[in-house]
Amino acid sequence: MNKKTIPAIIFYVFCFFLFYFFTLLAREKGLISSEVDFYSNRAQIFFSSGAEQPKILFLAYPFLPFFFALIGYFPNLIPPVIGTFAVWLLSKIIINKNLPPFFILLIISSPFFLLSISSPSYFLLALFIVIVIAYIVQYHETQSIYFFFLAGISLGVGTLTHLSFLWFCIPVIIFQWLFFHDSLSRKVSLFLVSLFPPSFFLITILFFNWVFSGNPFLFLNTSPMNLIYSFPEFLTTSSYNLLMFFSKLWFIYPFLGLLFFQGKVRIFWMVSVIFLSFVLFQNQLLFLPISFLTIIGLLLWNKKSGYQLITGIIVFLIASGLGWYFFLNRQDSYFSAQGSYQNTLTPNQPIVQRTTHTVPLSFINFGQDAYLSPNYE
Amino acid sequence: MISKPIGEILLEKNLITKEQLAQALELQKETGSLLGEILISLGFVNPIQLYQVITQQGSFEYAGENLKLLTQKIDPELLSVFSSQDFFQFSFFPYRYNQDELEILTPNPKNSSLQHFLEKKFPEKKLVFKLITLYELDWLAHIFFKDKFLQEATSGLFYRSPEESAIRVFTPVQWIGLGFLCALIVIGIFTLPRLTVLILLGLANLFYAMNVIFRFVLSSSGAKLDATSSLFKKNEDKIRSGDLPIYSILLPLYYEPQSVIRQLTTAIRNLDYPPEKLDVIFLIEEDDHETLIHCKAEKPPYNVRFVIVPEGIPKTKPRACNFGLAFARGEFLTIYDAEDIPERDQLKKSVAYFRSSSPDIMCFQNALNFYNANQNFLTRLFTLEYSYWFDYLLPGLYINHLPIPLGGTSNHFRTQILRELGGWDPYNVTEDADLGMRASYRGYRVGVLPSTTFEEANSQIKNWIRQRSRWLKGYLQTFLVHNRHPLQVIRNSGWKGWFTLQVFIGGTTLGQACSLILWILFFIWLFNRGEFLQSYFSGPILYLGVFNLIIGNFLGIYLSMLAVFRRGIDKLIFYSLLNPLYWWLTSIAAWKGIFQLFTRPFFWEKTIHGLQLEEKQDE
Repeated sequence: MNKKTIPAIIFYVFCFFLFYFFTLLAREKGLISSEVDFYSNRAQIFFSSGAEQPKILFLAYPFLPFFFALIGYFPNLIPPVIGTFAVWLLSKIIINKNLPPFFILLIISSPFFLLSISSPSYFLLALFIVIVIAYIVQYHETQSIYFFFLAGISLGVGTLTHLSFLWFCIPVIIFQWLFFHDSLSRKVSLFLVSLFPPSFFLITILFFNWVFSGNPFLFLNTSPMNLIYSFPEFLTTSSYNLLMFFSKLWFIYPFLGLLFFQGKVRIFWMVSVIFLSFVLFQNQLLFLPISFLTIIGLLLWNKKSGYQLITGIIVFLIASGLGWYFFLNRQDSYFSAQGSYQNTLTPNQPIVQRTTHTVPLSFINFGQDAYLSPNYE
Repeated sequence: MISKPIGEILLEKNLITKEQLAQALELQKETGSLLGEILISLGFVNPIQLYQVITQQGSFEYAGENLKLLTQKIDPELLSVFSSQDFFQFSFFPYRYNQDELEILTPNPKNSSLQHFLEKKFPEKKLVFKLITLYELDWLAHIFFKDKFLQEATSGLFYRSPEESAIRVFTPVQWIGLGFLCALIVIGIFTLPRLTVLILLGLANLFYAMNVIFRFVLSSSGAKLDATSSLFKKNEDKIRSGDLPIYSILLPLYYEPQSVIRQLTTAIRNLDYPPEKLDVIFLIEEDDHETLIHCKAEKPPYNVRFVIVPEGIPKTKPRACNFGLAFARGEFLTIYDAEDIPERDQLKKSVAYFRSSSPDIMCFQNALNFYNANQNFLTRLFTLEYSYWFDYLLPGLYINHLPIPLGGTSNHFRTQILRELGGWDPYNVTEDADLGMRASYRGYRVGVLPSTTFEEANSQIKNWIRQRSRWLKGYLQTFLVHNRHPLQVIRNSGWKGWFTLQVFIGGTTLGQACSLILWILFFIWLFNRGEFLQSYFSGPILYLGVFNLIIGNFLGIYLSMLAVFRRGIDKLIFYSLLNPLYWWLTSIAAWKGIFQLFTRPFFWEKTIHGLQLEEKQDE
């Protein structure tokens, strides 16, 4: 056994219990997303369904959060399982990029990170997007196929987190087209190889839906995310969901993006973060200073310079502290399980009504969002 | 009296031109080799001409003019003082001796290591050197040691270490085990058919899943190698031409067409290695006059020697290689197939890597790939497979310190360790894979070299199945040989080494054989979905099966796609989607291999080379 294995295991066990503690705290304050309850419920149904198990398993979409629910089983155990998995993945990137391991502590100490793990599908979606980009950038920096291989696997697995992940393929193509100057044939090959994993997994999902139900698109209507994925027929719903997706992405988007990228990719990232800040967070001014402080902290971060390193840490800690302050002391809609939009709806309203909205939206909430817990149905 | 330099004498005798002399002197500055050797290797003079001049120069006497007479004069008693390997390592042959003098035949009397070796052995005798060409040296060795070499080549491994030889396919214990297993299955099918089938399906799926996971782990580590290969890169430039040792190349040939021999000699000439330090040995079977004629017609360079492998059984490539090994002079040795085209700097790279690696690395395996990848559908898929195997799996084994089954050609050895290991097993039809495993279980390691040898991909299905079934049969032989003492394997190479043997060696053939059955069952389920199959595919078996179907196929396709992407063979990316068709073909070959293991275990299904060249000629 490697010398580092035992400390690593101890660290992951610590993370697990930290996330578990936080989940309990968040639940007590009514801040946890009910998505975990839904998946836990699904897992319980799965284990008690005997001969129907295969059907439930193969028709479950998104599969990855469901898979973690099979491991976590109880609602309060699912976020720690997912969080520990995320820490493990992020540590790999941090080690690969020779970043200080201290970074991982900063990430897990952020309330945004801790809170978002209770929303498995969005959290995993955002996580895989960041990971895919981090690996692709690393591939182009080092020209090592290893990182491309990991990016491909992550692209494939990402398809199992959320259907919105498929939209992400478009920026991946633009990203590679814009920043990497290979020959055209090479770009096309890169595109094809990048596209294979998500296509393969998507086709597999379609295939099993067809095998078990005769309708390859059944999962669009029967999964917990049913109405979210009712595109393109319900444009309003899908555009709503795109924004929802970005709003959730925000929880870890600036942290990880700025951490992993340098040079022109970091500038690209910065611009998109600022743009999204204005588009998405106009009603959430509270969040702006925290996020900007985070960004500045990360930008100042430079491990080679002691002064910058200390400044970076201080700024980052202030941002994180502010986040904790608001989290622990305010029932702000940003953190609330019942966001402002959800508050306008009553549990008895039909699903379509609750998701195809006409009222102005506050996109930042951790509430029921567009999916519904079985408890509400 | 100071004798004239050899170059001047050759010039005076109009045997070489001034330009040729200048070129040879330039090379001498670079490599530090003897001028005569350089002139011969460049083909400017032939050895006999040179030695006659040296004799006239008065320094040494040329003894090879009457070989028959020379043979009669050689003292057999003196021969027994040396090991036959000494003759090739130091390039000499003992002639005769008396109380004061020891007469030695050698192509290079100024070889200091030879002088040192002889002085150590005969400290009180004056050494007298007589000239003889390398060809004559071979001839003498052939005359005096042919039977010994042949015996060593055929049964050396068996006599020294019978448990490591595949001469016995199954040991009695293995027969009993196999018989017991078959009996259990038959009884199970008649008494508890459902349970028996469930267990068999479960085991097949579990085994296959282990194979998939193991290959994924290997591939992900193997993909790292280009990131870590910077460890090696720094050593490549350090080697100067003057430091390069003699490098032996064994080329086993059997019924090779003229076009293949032509391509081979061109590839040899193109190697970026001082020609006087190359020791190329064409191994030609005694009954194969055709290849001998083809070889002679191509007039290969002077660093090429023909060694005729005497008739005998088994007539296999490893037996020929073992025979050739006895004649090898190099510190390092490699094997190429007749149709191989190695990258020009491969030998230099190999020396650099050997010099910078630990002494327990006994061999470096090159990547193999194909120069006719785009010839047809089969060659395209074959290229995908080879790219994945050599660029991902083998480096993965290397990084994880696991035993590596060597590929058929372009294995670069430390000659001394290769001899110590007893060479190749002539009864194993994948002698290379066996040698890699044997080396590992004796504490040596195999490395991977970032250089490629291009081969001819099999372009005909029948020929391909012949070749593949031999490989898969050989893997089973290796699996059986090394499973005779599993505890010993675990002791020598740990659990990881043992696991590799089960999953990578045994698993390759058995997994591929299972694959066809699982595919058939999948299609039956897909199109029928009757109650019958559903009752057999439930719970863990179903999940394992689905895992194998989805993840196994995904990884197989994606990794081969990445492999050709890395190599820049972009045209093949689409073809990787058709890989399952190729795997069905492999499965057919696996069943043929399994069948042959019981019926014709040592039968060497010869792969026909030069099909692509023939096609080109026809065009």
